[in-house]
Amino acid sequence: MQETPPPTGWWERWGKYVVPPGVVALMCAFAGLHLASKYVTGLVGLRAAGRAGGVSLHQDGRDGLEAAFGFRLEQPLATAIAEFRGAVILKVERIA
Amino acid sequence: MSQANLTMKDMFEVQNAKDAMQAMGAATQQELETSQAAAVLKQEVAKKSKLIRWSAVQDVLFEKTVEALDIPVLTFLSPAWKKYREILEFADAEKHPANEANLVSLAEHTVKVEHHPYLQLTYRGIEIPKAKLEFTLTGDLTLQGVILRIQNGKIKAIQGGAVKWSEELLLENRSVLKKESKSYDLTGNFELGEGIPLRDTSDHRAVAPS
Repeated sequence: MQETPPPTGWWERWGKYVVPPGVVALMCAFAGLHLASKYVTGLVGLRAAGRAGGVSLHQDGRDGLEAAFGFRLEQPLATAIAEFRGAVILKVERIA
Repeated sequence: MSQANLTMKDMFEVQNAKDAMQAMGAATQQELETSQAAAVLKQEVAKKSKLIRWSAVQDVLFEKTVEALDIPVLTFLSPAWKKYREILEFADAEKHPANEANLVSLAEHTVKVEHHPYLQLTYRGIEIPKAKLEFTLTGDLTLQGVILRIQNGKIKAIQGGAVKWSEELLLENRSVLKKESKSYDLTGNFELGEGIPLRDTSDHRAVAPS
């Protein structure tokens, strides 16, 4: 009597061809989505092409300017001198 | 215009960056760019990003210039008045008890002002030493018929008078804005809240030199 070969399982039939590439594709999809979300929220600058070690901005115009630069206004002490030609006070009226 | 918060912006008749640009004119704007600090600023911005246009920087500069003028006129007046013995006398509690209020009419006088605001550029929070725009504000305030209400050693209100101003704003000794203002009427109650103490305190921004 001839021995019947054991029936092949799903892994042998198709699993080993589908599962590894599927896992790789899924990981790539997650990585792509992650990168896309970072780009959309402005956390990575794909447009910037600065020199090695340099810092480049990827936002243009005023937004970019204000994102990186600050303009701090300082108002130190002023001098003010009053000059009267003659008398300082002309009249004093007590009201209370 | 409310006289109670009359500022240097009102005196220069500039309320925003657009006004300042118009008041300066194209020639002054160009000259402004050639100032040393502006040249450094331009260089620094170009070094950090090629995407930022100079026009965006200019807008911010004009806005900040206007902000530098947002100083109440009173900031200059009260310290100048307080230097006079005749006015300081009203802070003497023995001669003028706390419940006594006086209307003090001042003679026509001029207040000479000099102020040096500056704009410091920072990159990611760190100062760029050479990128510092130093302004000089000079002017003469002419005051006529000013009446002060003084009580308890404090200037409580300005109840009358008029103020006229001749002023100039310079950047590195280059004239940026110049104005002969019209006369502003101070008639009516120019209430000063808690009042400005006649005796010197450290919480005033402007001081008269001793």
